[in-house]
Amino acid sequence: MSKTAPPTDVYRAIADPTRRSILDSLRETDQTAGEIAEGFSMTREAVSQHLKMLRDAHLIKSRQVGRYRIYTIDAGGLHDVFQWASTFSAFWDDRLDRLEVELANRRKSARKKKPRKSKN
Amino acid sequence: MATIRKTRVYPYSIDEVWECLTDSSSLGRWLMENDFRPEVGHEFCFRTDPVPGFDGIVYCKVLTIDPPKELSISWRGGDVDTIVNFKLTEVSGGTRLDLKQTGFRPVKQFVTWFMLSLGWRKIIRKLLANELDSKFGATGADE
Repeated sequence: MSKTAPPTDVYRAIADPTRRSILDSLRETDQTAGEIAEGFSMTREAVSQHLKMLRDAHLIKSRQVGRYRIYTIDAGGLHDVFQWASTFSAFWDDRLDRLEVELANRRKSARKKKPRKSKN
Repeated sequence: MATIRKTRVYPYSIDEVWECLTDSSSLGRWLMENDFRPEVGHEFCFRTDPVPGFDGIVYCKVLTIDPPKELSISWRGGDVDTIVNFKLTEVSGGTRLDLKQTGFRPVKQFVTWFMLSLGWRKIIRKLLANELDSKFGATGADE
């Protein structure tokens, strides 16, 4: 059995804004389900559902500490989804978009320095 | 070993694109902050925000430089050891950029940094694009 979640689970998990917010809040600090529920003014049941989806997608994991279950980001799960090649692929897509913006901005500022006869 | 290839055509002259590839402040705006100089053998770093496990530094060295056509740099950071090659060709309507990155080993720290820096909206868009690519782009293997 593969430990990696099918990518569609990951898409479904992060397609929801509430789950993305949960992930964002877990980036900063590990939290219990209760703390998460507090932060989002949701019922414990609703939070449990979201956490289950995130766990199934291997985006978070939990550990039991005393009577509390602490949730944390699962970097390993993210890594399984983003093979290094696909990550760099997305990285370069992003940066090559920015290169186009840079080209446009450079030309704009070059025009400013060297003004031509204006029509208006 | 894996290789990444990207091709873009920019509606700008080859000299303009070359300038963006080899001018340190320009690179800083579209790629990452750096102390690049266009000299073979020059060792430099790209710097970005650190995350746990990745200090945000990519260690590079200029391997080849052939103005205004080709630039190769080594690219080591997190736990990758790769070579990045940029090739420029004049085409009708602008300049074609062919980017190739040849690399080794997984790169968990870089992945984490990238995930955090890109933002969710883009991640979703790119995840889906990659997924579609792998489904319909390459060979479809039965599982």
